[in-house]
Amino acid sequence: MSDRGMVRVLGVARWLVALWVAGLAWGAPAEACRWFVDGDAEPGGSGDEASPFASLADLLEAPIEGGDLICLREAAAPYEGVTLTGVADGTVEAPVVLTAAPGHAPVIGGRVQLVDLSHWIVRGLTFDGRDAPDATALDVRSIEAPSVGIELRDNLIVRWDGAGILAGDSSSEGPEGIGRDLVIADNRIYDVVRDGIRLRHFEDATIVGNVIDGVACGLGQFDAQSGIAIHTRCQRIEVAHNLVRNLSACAELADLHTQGIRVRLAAGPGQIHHNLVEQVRPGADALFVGGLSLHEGAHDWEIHHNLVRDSDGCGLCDGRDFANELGSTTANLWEHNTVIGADVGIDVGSKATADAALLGNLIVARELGARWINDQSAFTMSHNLYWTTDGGPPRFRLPGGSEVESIADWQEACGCGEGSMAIAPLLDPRDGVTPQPGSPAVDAAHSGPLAFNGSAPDIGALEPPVVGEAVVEPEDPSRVRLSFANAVSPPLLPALGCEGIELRVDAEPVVLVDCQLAHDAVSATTTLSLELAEPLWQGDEAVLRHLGVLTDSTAIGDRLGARVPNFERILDTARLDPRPAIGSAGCGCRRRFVTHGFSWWRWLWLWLGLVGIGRRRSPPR
Amino acid sequence: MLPRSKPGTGRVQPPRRIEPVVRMVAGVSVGLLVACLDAPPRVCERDDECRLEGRQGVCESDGYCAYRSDECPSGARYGPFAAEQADTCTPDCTEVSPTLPCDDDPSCPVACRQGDPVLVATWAHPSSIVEPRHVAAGADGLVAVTGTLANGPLALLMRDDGSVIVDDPTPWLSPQIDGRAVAIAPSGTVWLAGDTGSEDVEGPTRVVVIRLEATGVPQGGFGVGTTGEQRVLALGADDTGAVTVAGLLDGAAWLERRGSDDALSWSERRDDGFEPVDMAVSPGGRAGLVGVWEDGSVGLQIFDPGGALAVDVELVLGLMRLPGALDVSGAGTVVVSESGQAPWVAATDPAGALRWVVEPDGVQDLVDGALDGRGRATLVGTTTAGGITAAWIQQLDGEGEPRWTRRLPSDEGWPVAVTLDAQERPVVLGVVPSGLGLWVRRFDP
Repeated sequence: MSDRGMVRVLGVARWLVALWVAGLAWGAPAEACRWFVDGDAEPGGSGDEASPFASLADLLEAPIEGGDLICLREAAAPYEGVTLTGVADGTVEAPVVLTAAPGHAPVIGGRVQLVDLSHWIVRGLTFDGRDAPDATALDVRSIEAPSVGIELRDNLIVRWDGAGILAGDSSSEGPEGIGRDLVIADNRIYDVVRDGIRLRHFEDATIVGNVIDGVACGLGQFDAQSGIAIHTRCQRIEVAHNLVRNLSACAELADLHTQGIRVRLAAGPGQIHHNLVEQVRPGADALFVGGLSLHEGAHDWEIHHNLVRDSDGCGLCDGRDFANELGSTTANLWEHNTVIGADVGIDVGSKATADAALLGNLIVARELGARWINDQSAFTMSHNLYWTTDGGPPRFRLPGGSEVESIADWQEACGCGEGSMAIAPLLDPRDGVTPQPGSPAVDAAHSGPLAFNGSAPDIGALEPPVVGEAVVEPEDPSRVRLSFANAVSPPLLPALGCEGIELRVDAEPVVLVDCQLAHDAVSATTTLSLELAEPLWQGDEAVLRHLGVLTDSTAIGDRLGARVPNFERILDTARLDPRPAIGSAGCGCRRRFVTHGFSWWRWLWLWLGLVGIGRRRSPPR
Repeated sequence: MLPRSKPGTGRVQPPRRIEPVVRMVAGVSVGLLVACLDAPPRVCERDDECRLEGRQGVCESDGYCAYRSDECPSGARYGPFAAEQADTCTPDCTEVSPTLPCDDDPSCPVACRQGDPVLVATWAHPSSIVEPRHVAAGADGLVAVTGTLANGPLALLMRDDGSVIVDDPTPWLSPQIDGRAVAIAPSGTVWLAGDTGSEDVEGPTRVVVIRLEATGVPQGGFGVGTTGEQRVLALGADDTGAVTVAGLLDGAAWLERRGSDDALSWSERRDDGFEPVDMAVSPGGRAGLVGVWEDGSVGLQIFDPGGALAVDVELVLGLMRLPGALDVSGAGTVVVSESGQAPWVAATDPAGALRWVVEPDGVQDLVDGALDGRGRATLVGTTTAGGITAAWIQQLDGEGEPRWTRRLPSDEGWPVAVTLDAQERPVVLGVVPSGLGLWVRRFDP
């Protein structure tokens, strides 16, 4: 081998060893850290594992390349923040990743700002703002170049005096200021001020699976607080499966605008779906309170399968908050949402809303089922179900402040579509949201393109699977199958085990060896297969019950699925083989044939033996 | 009056006088034959086969049913169909064969196979006090233990043949971390959680959860830290391989589920006055959390695998009864009293409804409990007799009645935790009296 060849082999070997050492901690060389930052290290490090950087600012001088993994170690003090700009971009295939070193949980105590960067991922870091000099934890800006392909994922953000995540810059009005392909996912944002996540000037952004819990009110252009705010010029935005909770009382600011999810300033189109908004309660001094609120030119949004509960103000609010020169809202579709415990279920148009459609929503309001404020508003409302938390039909308010009390009067006054009803929704008491079998919400919505179970979609955000019949497999009577119509959100959870499932034969429980769920996408059917410890026989009075919790995977707020109703099914055993006689081969000597104790009839036999048989055979005297 | 025969007289009675006696003997024989033919000795396989006059019994390991009896030292008496043992007291197995398997111990009665303790592993550190806290057991005899050593975390991965897979976590776990909890998924993946503890730690405090292969090679994990308080209370893996960790995050009650690839499934933080005490995960992925509200009431919360709060109930247990440990299975939950209290155990159904509360006899201090899918609760604690403290292990049936009880010799030390292996056999972690080592015993349920 030539010297050059040997050098090359040694170089490859050295590289492999380095890769192995770097990946040793987790056994994942593909995720090997290229750069290390350790706040406890001496300044002047080269950034490798043995000589890490001492601060995030050192990254500005590092020759970072696409595909590099930058790993932060734990340090005795939180890291200072940094503005990352002028460093290399990643690529779609090879992004730059800023994350925690394996086994470490570093804490950053200042803002991390990504300016004009593309294809960077910030994930798995904690941002603690207690002593931070800045207001915002994570800030993505496009000033001289658009931010493209930024991903902020699985970060923990606690106690900041401003927004948890801010993406976009309100000062950037030109096309260079529009970022795109942004992902904000699975972050946990606790105890921040004004907005959990605020987005401006972005196209094609996804905000999914975030938890935003605890947002206090804050000063701004106007005094506000919101879980997620989608603002100026945002287009093609998807806000899905987020949990927004606990927008708490604000005594410091008057004229407050509080909204769980807020869209304004000509943002649209986009989708807001499968979000859970709860406990939006800013107090009595708030000027406007809403769960899901679109105003100020928000247009072409599809808002569906969201749940708003235990909140003040309106649940579904279209054009209800203030408007400016951008006008009110246009062409927003509100479909299959559920509101439980808001003051007003649906609130339309303090300004002239155009072409709003509110269909198939389930409303259990504290006061008003719906409110229509501006008589210039144009909207459709049909196939909604209204009720009140007090257990009676709601009132409806018309422009001018007059109210009607019947659904017929409301529909006549507003000229809405038909199919709505004011009736008790019969929701599952276990979660207070899922319609139970027999609920008027079941199969009562207008059929559209959405998947549904049964003959038509249910009204509201959750569409429970429909429980079919249970069948004993004739070829193997130790197996029982039960099918569910489950077209909306398979699979069912939990996917494994027999929890909550009970089979009794002649009122005695039978041991279940195994329970499996399998979904067939073609037939949109989920099948529960039970394996019994013993077979069933002809004439067995076998009853299958489900007493536990089984849900589909709708994942509203990334956690809430439609509950399969508890059920009881009597198994048809008439066509099974007859039970063999006791003692014969194949005897199913189940425990119900085993009774213990010297029962009365055995004593009777003995007594007959003592006195009956002997006496009867005594010769006459 | 008919003449009676006199045994041993050698006199032959006239046929006429003998006949009534013969008839009587024949009648009794026939009667007994009929009665007894219908009630031969009966062998059981499961507890639920044993029911006598409305009472639920226990299927003893010799295959006969026994029923609770306060007159017997063992606490149980065989039923009437237990062959020659019928209606006799079951053997008192409390102190039988604490180390060897019963099959290997000639002095161990067959009836003592149930609850038979088998010492599967011991481990000692050459230079440190060992403070084990938590144990997990999986398939193929895999056992994981965590806790604290004098100079760092205790992280031990063993087989039930006593072989050690890993006992040095320093390559992948900071010495600042105290091991708090372990879990083993059915796939053999081991999860280990620790925190920086409540001692004087400069800067942020942290929680770290590490995912290991069954061979002990780290594969991933996650961590969180803030300048507030972080703590791990418990960790549980379900049949899908997902892990749920509970504790405190930034000072608030915290529960978080991650998939087998570390991806976040859901996270829940409650800052509403609920102080969590313990958490457990059922095989199906339901996470139960027991704790105490600000007003002193005991709360039980159960979260669906998807993360929705499915059960949120108050457990009315009586005055001054505070929970110390929780376990969850498909049968419901079991809650064990806080160490230091008069011992009690409570069980609920899967919906959180209280089924029973019992005060076990013979135990002075309960430390942990484990619940299997049939509702059988295995309890571990200590008992004191004559000033000597010894390990006490008892299994209750689904109605809260004792199935078996074991007491280990005092020189074996004390239990600190109990878990179930893949076959739902109780596995108990204990510490030796010197504090320099630990043991793991498996009990035949």
